[in-house]
Amino acid sequence: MIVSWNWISRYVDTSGIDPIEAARLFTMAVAEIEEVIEPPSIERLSVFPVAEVLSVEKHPKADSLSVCKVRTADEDEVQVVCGAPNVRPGMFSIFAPLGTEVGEFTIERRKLRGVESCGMLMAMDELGVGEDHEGIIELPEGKLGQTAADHFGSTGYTWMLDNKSITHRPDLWGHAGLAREVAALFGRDYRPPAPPKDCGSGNDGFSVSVNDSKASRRYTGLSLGGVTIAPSPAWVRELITEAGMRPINNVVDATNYVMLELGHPTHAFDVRRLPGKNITVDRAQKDQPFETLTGKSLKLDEEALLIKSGGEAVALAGIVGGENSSIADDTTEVFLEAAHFDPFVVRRTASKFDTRTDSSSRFEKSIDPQGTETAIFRIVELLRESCPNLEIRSALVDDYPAPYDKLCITLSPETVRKKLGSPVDDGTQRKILTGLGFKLNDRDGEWDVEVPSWRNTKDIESAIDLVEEIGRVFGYDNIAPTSPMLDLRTVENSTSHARDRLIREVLSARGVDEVMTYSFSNPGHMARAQIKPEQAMEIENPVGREFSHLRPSLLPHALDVWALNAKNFHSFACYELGVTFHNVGEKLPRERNDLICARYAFDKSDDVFYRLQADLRALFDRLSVPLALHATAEAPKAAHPARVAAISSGGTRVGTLAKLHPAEAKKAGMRGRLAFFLVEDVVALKATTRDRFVPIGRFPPVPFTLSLVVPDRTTVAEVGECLSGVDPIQIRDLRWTGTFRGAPIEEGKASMTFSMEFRNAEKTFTANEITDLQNRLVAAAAKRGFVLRDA
Amino acid sequence: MSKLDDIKKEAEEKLASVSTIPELDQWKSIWLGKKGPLADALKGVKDLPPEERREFGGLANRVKKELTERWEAYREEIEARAIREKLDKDWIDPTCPNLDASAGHAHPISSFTREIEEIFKGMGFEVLEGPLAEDDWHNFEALNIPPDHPARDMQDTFWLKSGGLLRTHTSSVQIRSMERLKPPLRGIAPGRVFRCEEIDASHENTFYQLEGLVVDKDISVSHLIFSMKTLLKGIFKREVEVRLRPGYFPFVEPGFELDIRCLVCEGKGCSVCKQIGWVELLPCGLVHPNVLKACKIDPEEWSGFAFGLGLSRLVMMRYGINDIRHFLSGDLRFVRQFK
Repeated sequence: MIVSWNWISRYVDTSGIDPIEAARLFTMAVAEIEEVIEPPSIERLSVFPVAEVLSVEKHPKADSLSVCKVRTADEDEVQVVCGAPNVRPGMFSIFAPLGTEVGEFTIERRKLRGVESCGMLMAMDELGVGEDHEGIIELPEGKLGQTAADHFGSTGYTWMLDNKSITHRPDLWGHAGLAREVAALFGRDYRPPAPPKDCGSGNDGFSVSVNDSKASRRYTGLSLGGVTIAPSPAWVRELITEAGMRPINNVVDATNYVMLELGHPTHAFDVRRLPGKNITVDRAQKDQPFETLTGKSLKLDEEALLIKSGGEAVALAGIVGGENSSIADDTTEVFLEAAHFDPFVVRRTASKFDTRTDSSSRFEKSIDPQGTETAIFRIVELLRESCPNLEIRSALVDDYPAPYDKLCITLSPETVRKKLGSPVDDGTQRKILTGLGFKLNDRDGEWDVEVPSWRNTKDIESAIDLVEEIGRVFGYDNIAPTSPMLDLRTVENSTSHARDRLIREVLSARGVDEVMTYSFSNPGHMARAQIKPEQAMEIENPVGREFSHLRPSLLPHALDVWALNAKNFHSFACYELGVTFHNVGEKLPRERNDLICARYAFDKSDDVFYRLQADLRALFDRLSVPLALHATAEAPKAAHPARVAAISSGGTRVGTLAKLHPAEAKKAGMRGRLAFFLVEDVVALKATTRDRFVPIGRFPPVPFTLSLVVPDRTTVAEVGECLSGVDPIQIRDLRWTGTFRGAPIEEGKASMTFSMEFRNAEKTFTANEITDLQNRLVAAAAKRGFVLRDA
Repeated sequence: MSKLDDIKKEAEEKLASVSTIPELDQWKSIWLGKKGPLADALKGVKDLPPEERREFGGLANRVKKELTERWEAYREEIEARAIREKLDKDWIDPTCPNLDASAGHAHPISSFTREIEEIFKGMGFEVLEGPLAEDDWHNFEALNIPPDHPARDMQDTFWLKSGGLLRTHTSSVQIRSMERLKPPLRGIAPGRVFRCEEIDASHENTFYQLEGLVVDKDISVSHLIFSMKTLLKGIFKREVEVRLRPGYFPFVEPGFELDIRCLVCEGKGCSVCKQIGWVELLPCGLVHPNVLKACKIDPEEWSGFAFGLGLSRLVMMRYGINDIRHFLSGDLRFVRQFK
């Protein structure tokens, strides 16, 4: 919202206050001013003369451009090419002659689509006196010989107020409300607009009735005659312009002015065009058509709220008027509307039909229904300036079915001091609240605080809200920081947090880089990991087709990541530790922390599979989680079918270790080899931490080495399990030391060698005991078809 | 006597020309052996008169001892030299990077998160967690954002077909934690959040926040300011000037935007702070009584403050990362720039 400092100054004496400093203070105490815009100087404005448009013709080559002849006091006829829709013969505007500077450009003689242009007719923003860029400046009272300084010399500072920071403050959507804050901040008197109750008696045949008090708390109207459509007084036009709107005519300007002043949108109907004088506020029917005055054709729904006249829709309540009843150049009778409409209804309707307006964005903030009368009387006061024959034809016609309950909050000044943590004295607190329009009644050291109607629509609810009012005006900078006195205690972090950290530490130490990818996936993507869409949660409003589901696996993104990095690196190792989402048929998915890790190398001598296996084993070792690998046929399609192992822990399958399937590698354009492991639900992995020291045995261990001839494709894991199962207590440090194939071992077999130690904590082994253990090992092996290799 | 001196002199001369172990061994057997000149000389002792005999014997033994010592020293020297020469042949190129051995690179978001966690753990905060897919209650309603509240529009929520949603802020973890744990409570919740937005260099549909929460007795705005200053000092490793200005968030009252004095220009005004000398850093405030009530905590007895840090944005600021899309690109050309 654009805030005009001149406009603020109508309600509070701003003499001696620097508008830049005021903006800073406003930001610190009320809402964010994003930018302060300094007005152009008189010297600068004097450079641009008033020009009269003599003729306007269509540009021969461009529909949106016109070729105009204009004159100024200095030049009888200049040709300019102009793109403004509002340019017309006879109008007065501001002209930028050749050689003047506008923004970053110097105006030069140039050709626009082949037609010469020797200057420029200016828009408000180009002159730096407003935001409007819809058309060129119109000066109804312009005269040749004047310059922009004669019309805009009193332009003041403007602030750009961040709309998002006042969504909770309907009262700040108009200059009068903003001025109340400025007055409170600088301790000055506040003089709000107070139009006289200028109305007649009777109702001129009008009746108003709210049929849905949930959707509208109040509807107020007034009937006027003797209206003449004319330009607004200069001061109204100037203020509207400074606040970023374009003056149109006295009636439209008056409603805009009141909206910008009081924050209360109003609407003016042309009585001539209203189908009837019975005005009702009612819901629309499904698919009811409605033409807005801006030329949009809508098809409404049952939630939309309408203003009806004689049963016919004449306005979309609080959003936009109807084409059928809008003010025209020959309007003489006007019915004014000021009302309250439900913020949610307005917001939803405006966004559903993409018809957000200055009006709807104010109704969305919960407007004060008490304000309708002032708004209407203020319009009348303004129209009296430009319509000498104005007649008020009715009293206020008013239906007010649902006023807000008066709100009175008990506040103790001690509570304020406690919540702020600062000794703000009673007098200061009282002054701040009173300055903001609250009424205080003393009662036993506490106050009953009456909340003014404009703060009682949603913003202020309880004592803590009053603490904020006092705190912000007192100034948070004036509160000295103090340390909270908190009890000493130990901190317990969740297992998943601890485990995450450990995994990252281990993998980082082993040279594996960390990546992160999106939590989203899509059916095509999931198919690469054999996941059916129904296993995944679907997103109702995805930002793109590729983001349609939540990922149930880390694998699909990982495939992309590997392909990307294989393009850029000869070798890499990377992991992602992230959440996957699993559809369990409930509102919320089951979430799981999975880990995927890969090693890639272009160099053939780099055995990525076994290096990665070592990473996996080191990781589980550090986590104190048992690990077992088995050859498996059950693996993702992305795995090489003959180079793959199931990862188990405590007898449960928890993942897969595999070389990437050559077909996948080819698809990814990889020229090297990649191995990966995927571990599901890392938080669920059960650690088996031993916290007892076992004394180091006094008796010497007996080393033993055993070579077995086994059928090909027998795994080290199988043989190892077979051997260690013989006597897990006495057979220790069982280690695979090598596998040998080729002569003299027969075709289809391999020789596998294991070393181990026999240990006993109690005694030294006798020769017989050693032989016995050896025999039992050989026998167990033989049972599985593993034959002792001849010496 | 002079004979002994001669022997010694000659033996020493010969030793000087010895350069290998075999030569040395030969020297030893010649000069110190049983048939060597020294031994011969000693054999003649018995022919000497008794008074000379003692003197000669003493001298001869001293010469023998000295020669033996010389031999030993010389032997050590030759051996050491031999080893040196042998090892010299074992030369390798010590700079040859035979195996890949870089430490892994942590994702900058995860290392930064960890750094901030450490700061908070040091102040007695625990690390809290909550699900990424949430229900309306935890993401909105319990946070004093009822249905139809305009704040819901600002948050651009991803909805699930099942009726759930993706959390739009880590504030949902406040609710989860207050429901689960009894006050007093001190915790942070870092994590991934989602907004339904088109992606470009400065907008992401997925980013990281860190929520902080303290619930205790008599928590005030003054405490909040102190705690934020302490936190920021920890993050930026220097005193940071802060200012609080009103900010509207339904789940805090009073609510603030906390700005820090721009660290790039020291407040003089630059492009980072949009010429105002202050950078908007984090929203914070006292926990709204309605939020405490929603978690069945009595707002008469307990009060608290909460804050939210934009982790993704802070990491971008710290490293000058110009495009937020790098974070989830999986591109190691990005990740490898960080430790």
